[in-house]
Amino acid sequence: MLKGNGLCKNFGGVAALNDVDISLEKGSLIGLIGPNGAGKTTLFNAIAGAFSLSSGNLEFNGKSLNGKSANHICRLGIARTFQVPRPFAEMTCLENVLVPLVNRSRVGERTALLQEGREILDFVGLGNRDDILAKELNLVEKKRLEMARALCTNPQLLLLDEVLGGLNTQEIGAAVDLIVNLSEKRGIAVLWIEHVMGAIMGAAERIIVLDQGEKLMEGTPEEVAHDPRVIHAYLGA
Amino acid sequence: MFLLALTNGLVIGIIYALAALGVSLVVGIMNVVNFAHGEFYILAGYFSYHFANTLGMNYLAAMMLSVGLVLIFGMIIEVLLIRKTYGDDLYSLILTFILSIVLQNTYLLVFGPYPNKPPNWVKGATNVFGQFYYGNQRLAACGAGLVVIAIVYLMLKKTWFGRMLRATSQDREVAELNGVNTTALNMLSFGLGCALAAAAGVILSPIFPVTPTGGMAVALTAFVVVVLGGMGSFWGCVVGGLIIGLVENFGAAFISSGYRHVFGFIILIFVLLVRPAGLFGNREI
Repeated sequence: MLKGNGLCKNFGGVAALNDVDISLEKGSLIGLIGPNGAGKTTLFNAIAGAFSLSSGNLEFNGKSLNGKSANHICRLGIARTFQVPRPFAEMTCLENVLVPLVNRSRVGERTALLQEGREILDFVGLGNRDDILAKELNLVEKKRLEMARALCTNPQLLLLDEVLGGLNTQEIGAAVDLIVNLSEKRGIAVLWIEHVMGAIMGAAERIIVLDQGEKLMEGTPEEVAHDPRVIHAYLGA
Repeated sequence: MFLLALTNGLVIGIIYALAALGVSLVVGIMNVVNFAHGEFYILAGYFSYHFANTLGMNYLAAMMLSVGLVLIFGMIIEVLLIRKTYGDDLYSLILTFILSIVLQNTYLLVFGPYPNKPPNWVKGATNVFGQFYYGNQRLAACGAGLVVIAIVYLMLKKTWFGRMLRATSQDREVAELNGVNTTALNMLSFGLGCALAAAAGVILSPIFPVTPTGGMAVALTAFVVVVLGGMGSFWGCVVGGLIIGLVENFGAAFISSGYRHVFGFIILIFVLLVRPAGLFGNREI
């Protein structure tokens, strides 16, 4: 469904992405790893339309994403979360998820949205927090809200940016179950940046490794874990 | 004397809040300081004067039509001028400043230099607190101002559109990622900001007749209120407007009416010394 060929992004003289190819199928769960500054978040920004590519082609379900605004790309079915959760702090949890819900609904259908919003909050485990202001949530809850909001855009492709950072072992287990569930039961393709290796190696079907803006390799978790280039990129000489 | 100053302060305060609301909305959502805010206010005053006095329309219909026209005019300005400047706040500042001068001179050319006053809605005066008589038109203007403020509040809190506005003012990028068409929203919110200036204009012009340059004083007061209350804050506008209105009128009543406007600025300086982001502001400045 998502196809990217020769993706390049330069910031001044720095090539944050250099000739990266990417291809994702419906319902697949792909891990995206690499050392700091490898270009993982840049790739997310490019797919989600935060900026335009320097060169290369991005297609989603056969439609070009090049030059499309972020809100248009969201409506096509791509959602993302941020590494540091960015809820609408002065709005309640329910209002937070209503923003994407409203934007994909028609005027006549909107009374049903409150119900749908509550169901999705329930699904991510924020069932009793509807009317709490988002700024009053703790980190785990903010991450869940971020996920709920992304789900409310009704995505076919979900871009997750380090959703496990800062969670304890038990919370990591719950979050991984939730993500695997999304991909298997709802058929949502997930592209997932993660530094918690144990979790992503266990959950992902394939792993893409980026290093210094280039795609180092792509393969199953076992292949990646044993590849000398990957070990080199992470540990140095 | 005390009660008169209090009444004056509250009435004028509500009106200040109304005038500032449009500035605050546009700052909060678009990060654009509209220096031509006062000129949109004046334009609506001229419109309502000519619709009512020259064309003989009902005053209420004239007011509605004026606000509607200014709303459309504001949206056109956003599309033609402001839209090109996003990303650099300084350009929009200079651009709206130039627009303000151009509009003032256009008004002078088209409407002439003399004050124009749309018809009063009500006649006479009411005895307030059994102490003094207060002009009915002022009381009606205060009531109308409160109604408009309440409508804006409900729109922001309860409607779908209001939620999009609040989401965008809190985090534009994330709002965009959640499907908010921020380009269209900018156009609507700039238009709405101008329409709020226009609402203040049609409500106040029967009391303070409009002149080509009359918008400057209005805009200046609106900026003081917005800075005092905190950029982009709804309650900041309301409370800020009331504080400035009350301080000016108490100062004028008990110290000297010649320094009326100075009192507002003194309060502003004190507040900014303690809270640089304004009373209700939480932005870093």
